[in-house]
Amino acid sequence: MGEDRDVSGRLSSVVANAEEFDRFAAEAMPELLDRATGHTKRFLKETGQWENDIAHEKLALRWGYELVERFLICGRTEVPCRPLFLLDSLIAKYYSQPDPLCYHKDLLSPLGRFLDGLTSRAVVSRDALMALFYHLYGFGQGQVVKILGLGMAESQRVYKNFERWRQSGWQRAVEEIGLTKEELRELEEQKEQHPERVNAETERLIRLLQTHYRKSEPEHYPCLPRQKWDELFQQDYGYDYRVWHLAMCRDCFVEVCDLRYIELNGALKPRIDLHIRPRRKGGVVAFFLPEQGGGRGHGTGRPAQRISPTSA
Amino acid sequence: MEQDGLLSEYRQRLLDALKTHSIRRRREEPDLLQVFVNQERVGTVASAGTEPTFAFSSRERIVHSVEVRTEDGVLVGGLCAPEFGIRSARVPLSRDAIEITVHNRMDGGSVRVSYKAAPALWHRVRQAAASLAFGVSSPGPRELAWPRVLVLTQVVLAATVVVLWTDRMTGWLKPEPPVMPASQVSALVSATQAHVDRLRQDVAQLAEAQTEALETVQSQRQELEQLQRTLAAVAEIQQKLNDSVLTVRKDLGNRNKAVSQEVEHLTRLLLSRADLEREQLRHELRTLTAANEALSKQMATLESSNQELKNRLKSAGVDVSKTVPASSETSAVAGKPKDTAASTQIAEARPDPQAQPFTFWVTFQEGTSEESIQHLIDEIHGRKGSVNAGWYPVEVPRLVGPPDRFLESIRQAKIVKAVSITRAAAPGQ
Repeated sequence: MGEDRDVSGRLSSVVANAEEFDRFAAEAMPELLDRATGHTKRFLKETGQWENDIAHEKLALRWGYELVERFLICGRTEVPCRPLFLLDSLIAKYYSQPDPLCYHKDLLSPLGRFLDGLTSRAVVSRDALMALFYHLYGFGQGQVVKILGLGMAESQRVYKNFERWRQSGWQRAVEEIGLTKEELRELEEQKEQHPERVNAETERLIRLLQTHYRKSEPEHYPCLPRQKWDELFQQDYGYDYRVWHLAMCRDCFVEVCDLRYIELNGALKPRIDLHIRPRRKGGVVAFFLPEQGGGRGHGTGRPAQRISPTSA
Repeated sequence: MEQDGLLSEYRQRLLDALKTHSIRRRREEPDLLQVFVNQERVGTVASAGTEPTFAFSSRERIVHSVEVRTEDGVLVGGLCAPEFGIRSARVPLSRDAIEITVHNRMDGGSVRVSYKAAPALWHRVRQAAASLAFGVSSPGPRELAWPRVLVLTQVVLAATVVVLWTDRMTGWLKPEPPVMPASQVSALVSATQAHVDRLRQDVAQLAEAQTEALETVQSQRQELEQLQRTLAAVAEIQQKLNDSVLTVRKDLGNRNKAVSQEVEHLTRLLLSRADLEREQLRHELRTLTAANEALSKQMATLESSNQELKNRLKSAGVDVSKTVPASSETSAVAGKPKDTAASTQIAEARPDPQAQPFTFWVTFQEGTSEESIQHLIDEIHGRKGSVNAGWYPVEVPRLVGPPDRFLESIRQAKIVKAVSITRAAAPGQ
């Protein structure tokens, strides 16, 4: 009882500067995580999205973790402050946004959680974003470069640290999702035994997820009509647009593959083919040299980023 | 139970990840950073020099949060933006730093993220040397300069005191020197005296340096105060400028509103005038139509009366010639002077009478045989009807010559007693 009071007193005390804040955060990390998880649970209960099972508990923990991570960063700039109050206000602000979580019952299955974790990671990590093409369609670097019409410079830029995903990124993402080894093994077995069923389910779920997470794009990155995509490839610009949007929008990806059918020699079809684990290093396809209208990249000195926001 | 175990394992994993992240954040030396505004990726900042600054502005929404992440998604910096105004933060990143500035206005917000690389080693050495020389101010905030100078002066003074004390102590602790000759003693005394003088000079110089340092501190304080005053004045001017801009915007808005109202009023006026004119034209058109109709009616009436007069003229013409007395004809004509005038008009437009059958009544002298009558009728190619009170109606299908002459020729016949063109005018009717 006395220990609880100590913790409570410590949590509601004032921190004066960033160093104190860091010390406080390091000491009170478990309490902060529990508090953020508790708030998430309450939000899910109040919005009628809660059930007493381990999947919901894991979802609450995962979102509590995300919120604490943001708190640890933003809190340093809010000193002097009472960290606990700051955490509460940050959580309240987050959950007062429209549609803050991507919640769907089907996303609580191991497959749903895997896809959810992967897509949410892709929003913040370029490694994960590029990995989406492999995990969803089985496309490696060469194929992706060809479909997206990237130039050599662009290709190197986006795939520069892709090895990092193979080595640690995927593992960390899976850990953050909370998938156990058994769940991963079951998923792989399902994929092996009933590939069509798993792929169909993936296609259904990925549309749900992409619709939610695509909002993380800037507002000027909407879905484009076929004619606009054609113009984008013909005039050789908007590399970031291609990479970000096509990884996060199945419909546009199919449209672009159809549009570039001739350039792709009809060989690359955007069929869903789920891959649970990242591609092994030896499996990287040889680098494709870009073709006319299919991306000359920065190497040619042409403007490659007309749609990107202003950089100074 | 198993579920609890799984959950605590997951929780522990997340806690470990949080700790790992905070360690990674401090060590991270990324070459490209992603900038997220309101959890939306808006651009990148390169640390390698090509794009060390990124600027973003939104005209529709204010900025709630800014996050800076590495390419693999590690959150390395962030800022919760205020509802209104400016906030900035400096996030250390290994030896370098990121500077984030958010400015929220009524009509949106803007973000600026700059990557500040740490200065090179030689640059830092030069700075240190410059600060030691008192002359060159460090590039850091000016308000931090005077305490450094003060501390440095104190350190130098302390060091001098220590040197003097050591010197004195070493003098005391030295074994008693052997008795020296007076010349040597006087030389030693003079040397010591020179040494003491030099030390005194050093102390005096140090005191001067301290005085100078204090003066510098004082002047820096004054400069700082002046700077603060200037800043306050600039802020005030900026505030005034903002107010002026707002006022001008309001004025412009009001003026635009007034102009638009005036234009609208003028348009309405013109439209109403046009409507009025159109209405007047319609009214005139209606009046003209009515007048036209009335004229048409009058014309029809005139035509009918014309026809009537024509018929009357026909009947009256025969009476005038033979049966009707001149007085009655005169009275009849005088009774309707208008009709006479009309008949003149009608006579001009009269159709050819020879083209129509001509009927007249004729009475014969007493004792005239039927044969003679028939002979006369045959002569004029006529047809006689049944006799009525001594009058025979005779119809001639086609007259040769004018009717008057024709009737005159009939009258000149010996057997004819009288001729009339109207039955009513016939004697005995």
